[in-house]
Amino acid sequence: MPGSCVSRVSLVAACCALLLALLPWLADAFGDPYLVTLFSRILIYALAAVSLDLIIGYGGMVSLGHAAFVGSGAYVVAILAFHLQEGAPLFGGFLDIQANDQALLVWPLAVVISALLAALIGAISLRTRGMQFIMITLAFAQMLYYLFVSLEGYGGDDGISLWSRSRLPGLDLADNVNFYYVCLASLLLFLWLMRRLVYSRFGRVVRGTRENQPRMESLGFPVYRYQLAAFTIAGAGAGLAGVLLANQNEFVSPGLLHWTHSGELIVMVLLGGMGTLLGPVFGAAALLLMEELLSAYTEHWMFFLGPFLILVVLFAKRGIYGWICGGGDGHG
Amino acid sequence: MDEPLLRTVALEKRFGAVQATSDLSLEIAAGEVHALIGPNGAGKTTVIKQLAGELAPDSGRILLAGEDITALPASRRAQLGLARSFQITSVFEQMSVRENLALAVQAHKGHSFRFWRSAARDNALTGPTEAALERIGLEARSELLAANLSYGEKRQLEVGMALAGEPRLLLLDEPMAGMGPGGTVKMTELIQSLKGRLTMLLIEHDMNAVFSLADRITVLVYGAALATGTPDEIRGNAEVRRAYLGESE
Repeated sequence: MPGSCVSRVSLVAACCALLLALLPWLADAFGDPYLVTLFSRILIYALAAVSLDLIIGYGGMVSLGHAAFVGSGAYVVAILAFHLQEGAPLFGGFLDIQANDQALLVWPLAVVISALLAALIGAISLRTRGMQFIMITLAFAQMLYYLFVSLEGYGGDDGISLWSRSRLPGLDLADNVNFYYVCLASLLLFLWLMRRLVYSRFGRVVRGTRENQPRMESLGFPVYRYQLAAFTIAGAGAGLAGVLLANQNEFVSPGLLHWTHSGELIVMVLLGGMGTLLGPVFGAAALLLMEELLSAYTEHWMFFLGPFLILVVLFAKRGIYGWICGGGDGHG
Repeated sequence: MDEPLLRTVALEKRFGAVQATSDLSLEIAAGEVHALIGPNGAGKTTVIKQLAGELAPDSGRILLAGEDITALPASRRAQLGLARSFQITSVFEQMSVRENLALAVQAHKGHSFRFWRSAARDNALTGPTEAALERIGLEARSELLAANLSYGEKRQLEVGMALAGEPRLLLLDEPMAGMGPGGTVKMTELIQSLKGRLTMLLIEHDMNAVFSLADRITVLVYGAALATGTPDEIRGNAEVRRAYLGESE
């Protein structure tokens, strides 16, 4: 029943939030500081997966190019840091823009650029539907991937290493625990924003369009512009994830934009439960933790992960979220 | 004569070798219930689709209150007050009955680039939504997912959504399709209650309903208008009897 489903999910989410809040202490207690790094990664991927859920789960727009926006966010951070490190002027000095590593400046800029890129790609891709949409988003992402591979100045295939993380006044991001909390805060903030959005007038239009686009048009909604706005917002969320990922790894490579990376994000959404917002967080955690555990035993961990994913998709209608709900409809 | 609310001028639509709409010039006066009847395949739904903006005519013009809307997209026409219900029930199955109606109301309450406030608690929407619920008599079912409604209730919701935006012209594509006798009576009553307040173009196979509801009837055969007139005139029209009712003199 929806009622008990909501309360069960809230309970699980509250427990998880508590665990996440205490994680640095737990890592300390277990004497395993690597846990902080691992969970920072999980939080970042969760953020990207939640943003993808907005368009796949709520909007019905299956994009296989979401990693492009993660990658573009990461590259903005990396390229600006690179110029600062090398002392080389940006754009060959044609434009009076200073290289920078200030988080308060660079991060919003990276998010805006990812959003603009999403608006551009979305504006073209959303003229198609279904399989064509999947293919065209994939094609755009791969184009960007090859673009970055070909940019020898920025390391080409090898990517760019950062000397340090972005700088935030009053908070030392080089400290892994501090950075972990920035990731956690970003995810919680984004989840909250998305929750408001999904149940707003705008969210209702996006959900309605997934279900029945012709009817939405006959009711009087010009659906294209709403879908494009949703696609752009998702791109911005992915861009933020990219920003954090670049800082987390202190390294950026074209691999971030590769379509397999987009596929991984889709798996997280499916595994956790489409159209649930919290589900993709569980999905990201499950996928990365299993990858971590299995890869400790065998390098062929994908071989074991694959069948598990098939089982989840076959038997749990709404992934982990549906499973927490207790197999009910889980709507709401 | 006053400008009719809706007018088509020499509308033509062809699908390959099939002439779906042929030199059709309809006039729907404000306030009337105008029925469009004709044998299966006469092109009735094709006309509705062109009026609603889902299908572009090959040539000809469509005028709403004198304004040429031929090139406007469906959503724009809906904004101008042209609503339609679908022959095949087309509701949002994963939304509650109330949210279905709220969505229809929302379409006419300005743009929907409102990202923050909960739509379910938006006073600008809830009032008209309750009124729409009441009109179709589904108050007791309001929290149910539309998917869980009976067929007849879905048909009511379908029409209720078309009504929710308080349109000037309502295009009803076989509102009684697939309904039992009880449902047909209910739907006839609903349409009857709207008569006079709303202009309607009605496609319907149930001839009892058509002849009791319509002020004027246009008979469509092979995409062309064979005759237009009051129910009595149509009943007495020999050509119509021959072509449509299949009677020989």
